[in-house]
Amino acid sequence: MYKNIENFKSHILNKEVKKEEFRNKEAWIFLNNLKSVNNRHIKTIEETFDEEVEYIFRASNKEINNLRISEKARKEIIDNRREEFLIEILKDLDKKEVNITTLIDEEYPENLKNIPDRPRVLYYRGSLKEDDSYSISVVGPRKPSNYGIYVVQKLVDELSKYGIKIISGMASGIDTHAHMVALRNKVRTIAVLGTGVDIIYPSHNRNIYKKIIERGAVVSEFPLGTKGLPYNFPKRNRIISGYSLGTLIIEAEERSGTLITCNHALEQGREVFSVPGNINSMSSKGTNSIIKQGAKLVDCIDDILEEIVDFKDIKKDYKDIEYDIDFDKEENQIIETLRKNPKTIDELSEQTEINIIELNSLLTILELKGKVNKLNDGKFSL
Amino acid sequence: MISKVKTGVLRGIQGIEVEVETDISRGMPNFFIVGLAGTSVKESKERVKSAIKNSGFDFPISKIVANLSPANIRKEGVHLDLPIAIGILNSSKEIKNDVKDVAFLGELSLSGKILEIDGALPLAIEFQKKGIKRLILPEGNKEEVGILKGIEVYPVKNLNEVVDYLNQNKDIKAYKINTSKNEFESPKIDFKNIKGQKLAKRAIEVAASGMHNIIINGPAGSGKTMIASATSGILPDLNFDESIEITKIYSIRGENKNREFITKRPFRAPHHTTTHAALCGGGRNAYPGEISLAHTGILFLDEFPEFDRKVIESLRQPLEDREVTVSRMDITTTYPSDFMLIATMNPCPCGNYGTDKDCSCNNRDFFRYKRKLSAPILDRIDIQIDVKRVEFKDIIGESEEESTDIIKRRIENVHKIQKERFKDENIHFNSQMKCEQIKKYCNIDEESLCFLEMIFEKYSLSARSFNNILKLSRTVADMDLSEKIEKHHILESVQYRNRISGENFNV
Repeated sequence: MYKNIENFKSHILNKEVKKEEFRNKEAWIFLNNLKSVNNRHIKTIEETFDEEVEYIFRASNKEINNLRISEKARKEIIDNRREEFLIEILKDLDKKEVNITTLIDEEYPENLKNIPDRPRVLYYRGSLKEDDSYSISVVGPRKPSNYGIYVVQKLVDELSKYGIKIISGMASGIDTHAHMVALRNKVRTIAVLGTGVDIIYPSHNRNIYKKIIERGAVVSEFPLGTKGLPYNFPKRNRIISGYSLGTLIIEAEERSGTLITCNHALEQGREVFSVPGNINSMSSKGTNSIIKQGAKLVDCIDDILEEIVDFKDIKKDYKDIEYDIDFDKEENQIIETLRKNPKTIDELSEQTEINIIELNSLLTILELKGKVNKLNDGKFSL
Repeated sequence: MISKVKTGVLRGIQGIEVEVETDISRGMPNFFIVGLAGTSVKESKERVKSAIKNSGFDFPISKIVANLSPANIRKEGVHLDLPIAIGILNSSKEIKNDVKDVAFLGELSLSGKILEIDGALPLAIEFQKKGIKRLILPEGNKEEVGILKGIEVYPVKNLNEVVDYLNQNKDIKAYKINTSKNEFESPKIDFKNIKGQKLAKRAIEVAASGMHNIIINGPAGSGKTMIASATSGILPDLNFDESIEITKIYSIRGENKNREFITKRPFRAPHHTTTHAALCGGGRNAYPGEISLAHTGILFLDEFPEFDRKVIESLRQPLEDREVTVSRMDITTTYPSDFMLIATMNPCPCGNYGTDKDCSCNNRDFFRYKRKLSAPILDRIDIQIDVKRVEFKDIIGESEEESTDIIKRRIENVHKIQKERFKDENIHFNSQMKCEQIKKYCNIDEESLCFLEMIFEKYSLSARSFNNILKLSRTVADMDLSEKIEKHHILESVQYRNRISGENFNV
């Protein structure tokens, strides 16, 4: 674990640092924590100082005032160029068990390195692994339809059985389901937050947040304590799509945040996969329209696997555990009936002619065997 | 001369014996009522005066003092009119006989007519306990009190009749009934008219069998309210003790229609704008609220998340303790509130989420609605079911459905089994079992235990929802007339468990 304080080189404020001890890291952390400094400013600073960002600590006030960034930002830099300011931040990170990785570090996600406007600094809790790059981002609305829930559970379940990591945003709805299914299948999953990593938003996802830290990571480019500000979420969407090899869009309304992620993925040159829906469904308008524009239509995960070259090898790891479990006659009857579409218990009872009492027991067994799932509208699906 | 007349006042659900002492003495003609009389008692002065005059008696032109003893309890209620009038008439020798062994209750009109009162039953029970042999009360109250043994009830219509009776000029027959007509009309909805919805019906039957609380989740137009309303018809009739208890509460509020003795279980459906004082009880006199009026019966809260958050949370303690203590400035009283809760909710505020129609709620409202019900409340609701909109073929279908009567008979049987089981405990139904009782009565074998462990792991259940499943299994086994809880009983119960609270967060 990166002990932030220990690694901190206090001599960076010393003017006689050699070029080899290039310490952009601290400088990036410093700039990232200033409220009025944004990514564009940092880019300007990098260009002005010839990629040697840490010069920001040693530059004279005049040099900083000559930077072509907003006046507010210049003032904030000058005011806070103190060792104590940085130490405060690092102490806070240590206290909250938050790790930090920057563009030049080893753990920094490979996929993110080559996207435009990449975050210089990533805060994270949990662990980052090298093979996290073999991943798919799953996005969708906060208020999915039952169809959306069905789709995310089915596709993510299959993806995670192939060992493909799942990236999402830990918002309510599709994001939550995607993380949940991945965790259930014991696959690493990464949540990219639009808040500081110490803030759990929405707060009822506390359980999932803890579980993700145990088996993956929560990641954010925003300094600790950043609240859920509406304009931060579209910004973090570029990290969601940039983190993975492809973005799977479960459902999207027209002009939704989900489509913003889709546009980011296209800009970054990543694959976009879209699940078609009914033409009369509001929540599928967006997905259908991006298919029209050339996104890959997905109705089974083979559509994803064949498109991404890196997944060719992964395929072999897949083990089908379904055949290990036997089903008796009536259980098979239920499975056959459910194969068409999800059904309520009443509908099942009518079609299989098994009475409600017995059906309840059978469905519990099938749930335990992991064959059927209860959707949140009370229907059962395979 | 001093006369003493017996009557009583209410303190919550409890009657307290009160003696009206009346003294007529020489002095300025005036009429005082002392002994912490409330406004309604002070006003009785004028009513009593007019009633005595208009009944053809002389109102003494002397100093009259009526003392309500014990004098340290505040007294409210118009039923003190009659005893005060009798006290004056006794003092002024219009009534010649001694009235020490008679208790009086009744409101007077100016013409001398005796009007019916609230709270006759709890007062009568108190008189019966104190060994008073005769009770004179308004004609309108005879039905609820007539069932009591050990006290003779004489219903009267006006003041003249009372005086004639006490002077033995007229004989009134004591009113006695053995059984009473049913207070609550049978519900208009019979189960045989509810088409389809097999799961909901089964779940409701399980709930009614063990008096488990249930929440029905479904979009608008799925028949939630209809099922809930029909449920009051399948509950067994009350036994005598329960009847007395519930009639007492209704008597205080004057809510029992025709002031009859109640033998059917109540069904209360307060609207979601209800305040928590109206729900749990309150007001200046700490009157019982809806949850006490639903005692022994059903409390139906339609659109549960639409209730005020404070109102919903105020149900926590009554749901657990089966009684509620209402404290107001003058009075603290405990009312029983042992009801079966039927709540309904929509999948979202507009009611269309998860159906073919598009949901029009914005995200904020949507999540606020979902979060409205706290975990402690949901934990106390054993059963949750989802219902779907009824399909056309079900509406016109001619399918044979079970009628309310058949279901009721089955449930009566299950209630009997539970009564036998819990005869040494202070509970009546499976849903009321506490930890030790669950351990004692919910024995399961190795195989079932193994299944339970799997279920526990898979859904990462809390200890409370685990216990809820055991209690439900006990009820399902009882319905199956099985002494032992079998594996399939548990498996069925698992389907009914409350999933709203967990929100599928079983990672």
